[in-house]
Amino acid sequence: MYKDTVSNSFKLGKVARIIRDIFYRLDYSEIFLPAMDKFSPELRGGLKTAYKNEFYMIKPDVTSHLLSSIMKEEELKVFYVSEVLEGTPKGTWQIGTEWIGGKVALKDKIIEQISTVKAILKSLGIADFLIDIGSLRKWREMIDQYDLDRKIVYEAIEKRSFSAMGSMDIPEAARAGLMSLLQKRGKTCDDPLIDGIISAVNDDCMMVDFGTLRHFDYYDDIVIEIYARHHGKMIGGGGQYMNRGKDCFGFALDLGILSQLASDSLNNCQEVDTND
Amino acid sequence: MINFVLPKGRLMKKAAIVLEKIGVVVKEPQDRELIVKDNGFNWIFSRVFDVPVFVENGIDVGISGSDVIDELNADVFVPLELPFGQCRLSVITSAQKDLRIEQMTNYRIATKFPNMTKAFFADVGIEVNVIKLHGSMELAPKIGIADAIVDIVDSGNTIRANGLKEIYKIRDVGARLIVNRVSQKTKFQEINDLVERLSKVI
Repeated sequence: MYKDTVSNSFKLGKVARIIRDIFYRLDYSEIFLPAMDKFSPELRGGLKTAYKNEFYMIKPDVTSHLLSSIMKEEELKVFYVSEVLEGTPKGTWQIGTEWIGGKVALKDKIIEQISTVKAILKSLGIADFLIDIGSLRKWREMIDQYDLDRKIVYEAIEKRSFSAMGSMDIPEAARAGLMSLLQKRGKTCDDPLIDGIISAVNDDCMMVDFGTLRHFDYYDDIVIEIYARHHGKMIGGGGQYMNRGKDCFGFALDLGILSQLASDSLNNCQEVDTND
Repeated sequence: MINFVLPKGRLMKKAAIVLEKIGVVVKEPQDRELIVKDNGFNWIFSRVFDVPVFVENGIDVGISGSDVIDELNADVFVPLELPFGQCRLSVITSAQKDLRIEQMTNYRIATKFPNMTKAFFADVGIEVNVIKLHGSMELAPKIGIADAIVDIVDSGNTIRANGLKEIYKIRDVGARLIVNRVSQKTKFQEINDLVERLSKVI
């Protein structure tokens, strides 16, 4: 049995309440997904189990769970608070949003969601955060241009492995291109969508980093990572994906890390304008 | 300032030699010191199995065996394979027996690496009972608490001296430079510089 579950719950609850208020003010609806669902190849993460000759997933990744549950085409602007498992019984508590479908342009969805992340972190008194933005499309274009093995390249990027990239049997121009993308970090990148988002968000916390590669294969192009200068683990991340031909964007934050970072400042919480 | 964690023991000596080639001198701990500040580095000295844990949780950079990184499934960047610590993770049985992996159903396997051992036997479709030990693996088959062991083999002298033999290599193992995912972003220039300089001398 896990120790000190109750006092930990109070800490998480305090943070979740502040974030819930922000989501409600921005017209997100809270969703409640079942803890277990029948196994399907579309579900990511989770813990596989069997019951009465059927396979189930316990607490899978929320985005894939939600997408596999949607029965009709509709705009969904939702948030959730959920424990998520990743192959082991010990999970992490996440709070996140998904903005699925609708008529709002992708760029505007991303800008609103990044602004929401900023509002959440500022409400919790977390000041030294950074948000990196990357592009999976850039990697795909490079892989297609040189007809590279996607799995091998993605494994090398995810580990940031210069040794693996150096030993790949590929043209030197391809290797130079991959290395250059991996090292791309700055305030702009000559990509109209990314530069436009950074310009609209207009905050020093934004950085372009093409080494940012989220793990889930349902992401289509833009991905973000959220972290604080003085904490060794990522606060969260998110990305763009497609559902029934419509652009979607979502992000998830680690409630445990937020509660650690906010613990000193929660008593001094201030109301933050969510349009910031 | 870069926080750099090194494993105590043999790997640390070899790491120090490679780092010296790029002008980085590892200041070894005096007496029972665990952290040494020197010339832009905070040197932290830890147990082998703790190095990836430290780096995953916020120490900027470390050097660790790939066996430990894989066993712990550590969420860290692994930019460089380093030219030392080469050995292999293998299945080892009594030298008296003539065994193949396929014959090991329901065997008791003692190991320091239960996750990799379970994954290996699951991959080959053999059900085994894995017993986690923290050291002196060779003892387990001798005293009859295990039928085989999964362990690191370097020269093979230790297993031969204990009446054992290597029957299957699971994977090659070597030293790796590992980097914390957040530090890679917040100390981008310093860490890139370190990786680039190291990549030129290995």
